[in-house]
Amino acid sequence: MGAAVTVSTARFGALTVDESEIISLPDGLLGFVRFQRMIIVPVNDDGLFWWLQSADDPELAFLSVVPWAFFGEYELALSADDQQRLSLVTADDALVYCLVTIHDDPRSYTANLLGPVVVNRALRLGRQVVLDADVSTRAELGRAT
Amino acid sequence: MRWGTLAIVLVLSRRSGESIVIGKDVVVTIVEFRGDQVRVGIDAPRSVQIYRQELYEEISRANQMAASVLPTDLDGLPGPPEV
Repeated sequence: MGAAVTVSTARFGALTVDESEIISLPDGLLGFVRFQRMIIVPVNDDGLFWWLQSADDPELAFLSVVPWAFFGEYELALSADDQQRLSLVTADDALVYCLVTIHDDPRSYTANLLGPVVVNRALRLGRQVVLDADVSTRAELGRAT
Repeated sequence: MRWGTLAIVLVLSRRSGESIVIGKDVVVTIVEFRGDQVRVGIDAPRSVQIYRQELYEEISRANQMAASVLPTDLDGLPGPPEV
């Protein structure tokens, strides 16, 4: 346990978390290089959807989904470079979040399976990887299975 | 390089096996030609991130769209599996 820190957020007000819950993303996200520290906030208690909230910019948060509840066949093969950058030795240490986009008329939800955010939970270190795979950045979320 | 709307692109001719040096520590080597594809080897320090341009742009765009989701948008989120 470390010190308690308060993270200001536009969506959820002020959140107090243990500093060990802050995940660092040294390279940010693609197009969001400043997204370098985040906390993970559950949307509800079903464990499917999570907010990736910037610890530095209150406005910046991404809705994400753990892909396997919706895409059971999804395979995530990390490049050697990504494994090294994440210091990932075993897949058990990896948490995977796919960013979710909302579309209107009709309302639908899609997940970016091509560029998931992978977190080494032991080191609290994260990175958006780009997979060398034929998967969509806009995969429709049906009902979880 | 870009001045106003004028883009200046440096174009060099290279043979297979030849390289281009960019800055102090990036070397791009033409590895092989295969039909209409060129295989390129890139030697760069780890601090340099390398992406295929169309993937970089597609994922940046997807991130941009994902950043605008608000908690009030979640009414129709798919639920957990039915038991």
